[in-house]
Amino acid sequence: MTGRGTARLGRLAKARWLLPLVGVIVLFLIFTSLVPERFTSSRNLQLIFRQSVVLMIAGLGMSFVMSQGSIDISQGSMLVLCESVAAAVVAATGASGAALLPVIIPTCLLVGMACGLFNGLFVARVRIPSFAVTIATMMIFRNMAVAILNKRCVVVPISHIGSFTTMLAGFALVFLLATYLFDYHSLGKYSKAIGSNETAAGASGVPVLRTKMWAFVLSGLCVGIAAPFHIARLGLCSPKAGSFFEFDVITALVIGGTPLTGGSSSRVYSVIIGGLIVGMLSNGLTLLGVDPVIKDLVKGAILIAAVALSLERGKLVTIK
Amino acid sequence: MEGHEMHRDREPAIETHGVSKTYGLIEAVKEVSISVAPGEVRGLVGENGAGKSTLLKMLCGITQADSGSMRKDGKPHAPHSMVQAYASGLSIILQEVGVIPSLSVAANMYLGRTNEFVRAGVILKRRLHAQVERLLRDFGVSHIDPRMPLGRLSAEDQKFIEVIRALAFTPDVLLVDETSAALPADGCELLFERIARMKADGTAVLFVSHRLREVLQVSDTVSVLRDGALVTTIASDETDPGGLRSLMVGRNLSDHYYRSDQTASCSDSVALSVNDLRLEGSLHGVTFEVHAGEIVGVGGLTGCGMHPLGKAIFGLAKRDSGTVKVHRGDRAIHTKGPVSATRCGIGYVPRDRNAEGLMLTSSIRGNICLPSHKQLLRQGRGAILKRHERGLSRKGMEQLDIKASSIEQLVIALSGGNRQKVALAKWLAREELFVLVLDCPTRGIDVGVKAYIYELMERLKQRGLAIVLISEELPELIGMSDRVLIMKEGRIAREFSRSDGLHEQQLIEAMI
Repeated sequence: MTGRGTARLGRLAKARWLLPLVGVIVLFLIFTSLVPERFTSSRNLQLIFRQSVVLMIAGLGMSFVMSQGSIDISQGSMLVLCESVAAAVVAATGASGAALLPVIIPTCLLVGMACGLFNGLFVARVRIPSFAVTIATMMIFRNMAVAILNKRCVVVPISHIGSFTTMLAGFALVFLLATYLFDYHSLGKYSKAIGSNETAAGASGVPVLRTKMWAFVLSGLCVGIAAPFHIARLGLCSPKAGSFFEFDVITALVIGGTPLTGGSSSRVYSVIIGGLIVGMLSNGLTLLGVDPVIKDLVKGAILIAAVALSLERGKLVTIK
Repeated sequence: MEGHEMHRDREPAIETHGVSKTYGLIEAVKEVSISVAPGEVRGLVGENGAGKSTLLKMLCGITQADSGSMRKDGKPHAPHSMVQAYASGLSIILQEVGVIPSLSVAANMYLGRTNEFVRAGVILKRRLHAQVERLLRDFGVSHIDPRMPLGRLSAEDQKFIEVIRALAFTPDVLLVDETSAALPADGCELLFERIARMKADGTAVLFVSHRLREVLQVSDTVSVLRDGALVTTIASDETDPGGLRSLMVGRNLSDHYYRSDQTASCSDSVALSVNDLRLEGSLHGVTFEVHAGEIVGVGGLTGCGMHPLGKAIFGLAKRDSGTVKVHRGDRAIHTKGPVSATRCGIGYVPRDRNAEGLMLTSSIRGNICLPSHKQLLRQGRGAILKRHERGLSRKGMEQLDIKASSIEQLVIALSGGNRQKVALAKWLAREELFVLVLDCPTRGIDVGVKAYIYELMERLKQRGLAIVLISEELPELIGMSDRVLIMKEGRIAREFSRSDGLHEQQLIEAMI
């Protein structure tokens, strides 16, 4: 490879973690100057975090999938399915008050893992590209959820876990676990290897099938962990929940510096930076009284810019 | 060679005067002056990075010299594109693929030269196809249909078309860049026969190849490049491959290029046993054993099954039947896929290291540590710690003398030889390695690094490692193996022992 090419790769790698970090700081400064007290009030800052936490937890799971060069478009539907099954179980068992959490949490986790397993089976064993599988499951899971909820919303009062401290603790736990698996254990390294060169990874003794399955199971599991927090924030389970959620997750990951094509420059913490950028953007623009349509436009523009800057143009972009 | 004296009296067909080319900080070509007479076949040899390809690229217009000048038939020659070079009568067969797979064979043959078939802006396909058919018949490859998209042909047939394209337009100067490695045996025959014919017609040929014996056979004279500069030009009958190698590397390579002994040796214990291995379409029942401390070479013609054999042993290709067992002490462990093979202590270095053996966009550290997670986890008590990874990678870098700025450097920035060292290092880093399957381990690698790898293989053999060496290079098989297995049509046809003396002729007879 020419010296020029490798220098560019080096610059690219630096840009990937530097730019998002700079982005967070710049954005913070911009909004602080535009809407001084309201933006930087502790209540508002906590709000930004609480609004992003569901996204970030799900994104931690998605990091494994994306570092392999795959994609999981069914996360939003998994979210609503977890919630709908939880609501159904609550109704069936007649649980209330203190008994709600012990019913909801395991249900969400199990449903999340089951969905992830389903995705993983079709991607890893049957070997259908993840894009195709998860678009299909996106529709399947959501329709299952709508059917279960009978197209109605169910009120589930567990908003006490929606407090800042609880969410922070929950997030920190998941983050620590994800970081361990990603940076200090085989799962993350094997995933990055698969994203870099699946053939070479297989030829180096990487258990490709198992790694792919685990990534999708984790993606589902993280959605299952995020679901109770989501229910707490909304106060209810709605069949419309999580629409386009997966795209928000992917946006946050890409803006945070995860390459769409996966590979060794994927980082697990990019979801935090990306989530904060998206969160601050939404929050700040709302405080400024900007039309929600404009807000989405801005998000889309930043996503395109982030992808354009981070794409390794020499490499074939095949999203598996 | 006869006629060599005659060459000096005539105007050189092609000559360069002090041409130089610098890419960034690298001086690819440093003031090279050569001249080739009409009817002279000049071999051009040198390590990777010595400047051969750059020189050829300047001659055919793909790139332009930074300084110096070139003349063709006494007239200034400074083409700014291949089309210009073609027009002036200079033709080149490139090292990389120079054809467009989605276009038809005929379109590829006449790329950029379809003017004679154009009437009122439309290419008359029938006339074009008829002409191409005639050309193909003339070259003895009438089985190829000119209308077929070129991408459907085998890689070798595609190269054939490239060769025919360069030869068909009777150039005065022909440049051949590493083509023989991409052609099958009969394709090479065709190429050399044509070169001989063109030589008689007065065409000047510049022939670049890594296969030194071949270069000496085909060329009248050989120019040696080293680090971008011309070392010397010498007549073919005044040197031999060893002499060329020393010139290319700049020092006297030891007499023991391959191995220092002439007898087969190994321990009594069997390390790997392969039983009735079958793979649809390529292997029809292969059985053999490899002892600890033994190097078993595997060779044959294209399609004999030697490359699929390597994949099947490691488990990358799912075998239809048969077993592969690793023997440790008194236990024999069946392996199924690459994961169990790795765990049992088999390592595999594939032929295509860039596509299958390395993760180019990862660091040296990332590549070397990949098969060793279990031992790293044990070391770090449940966590793979950076400092342990660093330790393992540094050891690998030292052991194999990998030339890189640090273990964090991306593999894509390394030269071919260093990349291959990384591919080897990753298996040698494993505590439990008993069998190493190498498929063309020195393909496309410089003489200096090749010598190093051979030395390494001998050291590993003495340490008790069982090595399966699959190779297309007969001298390598003969030089390195304790036993050579020649494969034919998916089976082992014959076995030769080092102690009996291995000769190329014997092996070739067994292959055909």
